[in-house]
Amino acid sequence: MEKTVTFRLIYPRWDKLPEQTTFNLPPHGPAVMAATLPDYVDVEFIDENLQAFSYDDPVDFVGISMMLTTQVKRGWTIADEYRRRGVKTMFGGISAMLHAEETADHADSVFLGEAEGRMEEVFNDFRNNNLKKVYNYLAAPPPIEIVGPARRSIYNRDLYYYRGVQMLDLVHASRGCRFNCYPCAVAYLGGRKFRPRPIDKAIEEMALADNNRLFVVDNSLAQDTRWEMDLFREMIPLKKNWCSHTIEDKPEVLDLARQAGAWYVYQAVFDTSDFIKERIRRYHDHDIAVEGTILLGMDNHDEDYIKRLVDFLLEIDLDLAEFTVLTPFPHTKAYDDMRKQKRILSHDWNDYNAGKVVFRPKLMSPELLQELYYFAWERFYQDEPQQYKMFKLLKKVIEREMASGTYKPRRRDLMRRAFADTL
Amino acid sequence: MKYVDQIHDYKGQWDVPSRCGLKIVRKHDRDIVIATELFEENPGTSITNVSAQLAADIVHTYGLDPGRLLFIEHCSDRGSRLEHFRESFDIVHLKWDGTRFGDPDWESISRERVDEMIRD
Repeated sequence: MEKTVTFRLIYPRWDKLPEQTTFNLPPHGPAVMAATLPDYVDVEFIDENLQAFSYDDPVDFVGISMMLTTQVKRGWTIADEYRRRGVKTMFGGISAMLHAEETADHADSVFLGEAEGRMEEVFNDFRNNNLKKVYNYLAAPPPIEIVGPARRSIYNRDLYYYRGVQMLDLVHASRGCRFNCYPCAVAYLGGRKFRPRPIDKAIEEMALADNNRLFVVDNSLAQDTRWEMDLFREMIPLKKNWCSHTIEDKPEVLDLARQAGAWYVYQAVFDTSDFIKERIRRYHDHDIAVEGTILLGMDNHDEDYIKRLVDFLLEIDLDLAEFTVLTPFPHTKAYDDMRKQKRILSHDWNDYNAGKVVFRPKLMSPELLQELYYFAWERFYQDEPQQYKMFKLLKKVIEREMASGTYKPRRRDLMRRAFADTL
Repeated sequence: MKYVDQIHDYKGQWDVPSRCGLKIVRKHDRDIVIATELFEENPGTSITNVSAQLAADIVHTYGLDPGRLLFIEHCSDRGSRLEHFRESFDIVHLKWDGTRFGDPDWESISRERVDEMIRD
């Protein structure tokens, strides 16, 4: 019988934006990675946002999974301590790839790329004490057909409830993105080719998630109309409600999306045009709510523009708005431009939380942009607070679930618990 | 060789296959190299992210004299509603230490100035 490898997979904590209501969703990346582990690996998952851990616990090997730039310094600190104690560490995930060179200084190994079909090699090397410094599969994504369901059994499920309400489960139906948006690094990370999963695989994954509410985390569903419509058609019988990023703006697609359980979408709102106004209206006409994602500090933004933009968001009746400050993450055009123009003010990655100004805006001072960021949050939620708007969104989904007979009441045993209580 | 105008394949960060548009105009006093970012058509690292390595690769591939190099980055107009995707040209000032380029420093220039530079 093969000797078991005890593998602790850690998702480092980060400071959440105080302006935003804090929700901790079960992180998707670690569960996707865990699904690719060989059978002899005994994996223990720690979400450091919700769980404490001791460096003294016996482990053979430590994996650190990082999604956000603002997680990397904490990830490095954890790895440094484990390595000081002689425990080998490996990094993977989106921000490990974006910060690969720096991360390598803190790791025995850095894994670049997607994990499917690769972990046998990595763990074999670990067992043979022959771990490579870098496993570079950035240019060799696995065939999308072999991507299986995420291993959600690694989660301590009770942690992902807020006052007894289960948080959404994350699923993905595709990888890659054919778009190349200004602030986004997906093109570098996932390849510029849209890679849809076979519909039956994506549906199997959604069905397996023990949750009536999902977050379809694909970069954009609006990449291939036929695939998108086929996916929605097959989702209808699942009777799940879900949120996602952009859905294609065509009546027949929106109609199917609604039938498939589209609850709300994250939609970038970048100007005050009729184009945006009409787009939001069409979502609403299909009973799909909209959480606007609003990036502040673009080169055409001045004080007046941002104030008018916030008024516009109220006028078009956005269900929720999430304001962030333009942040030049590595491997984005934003980073390239800011670097060329010597406008980056901080390379402290803890500051890259999208709520702190780390660059010099073109039409105002960094201080003024910071003030306008706070102003935008306050102004938008002045008349109707964020928690009330969220309650309205929750009420909408509860009504739908009651109508379809899929409603699960809150868990009474967890009703007194909020996220921070677990630490 | 007086003039090159083609697609150039290069190794990006972590050896990821990458590609850019490439124009080389050899003048009596310098070799003007214009690398064009291809965005969706570039499967790997942006030209800005690896400018020093890309310049070295082009010098090596086309047998150019590093001392005569004038390296220009070009981003074409993307037809976007956002001004970040308007056309831009930057001279990349690079230090040559005898074996490699380093310390890139970008200077924005106009299309008119580029046209003037490459005019016969």
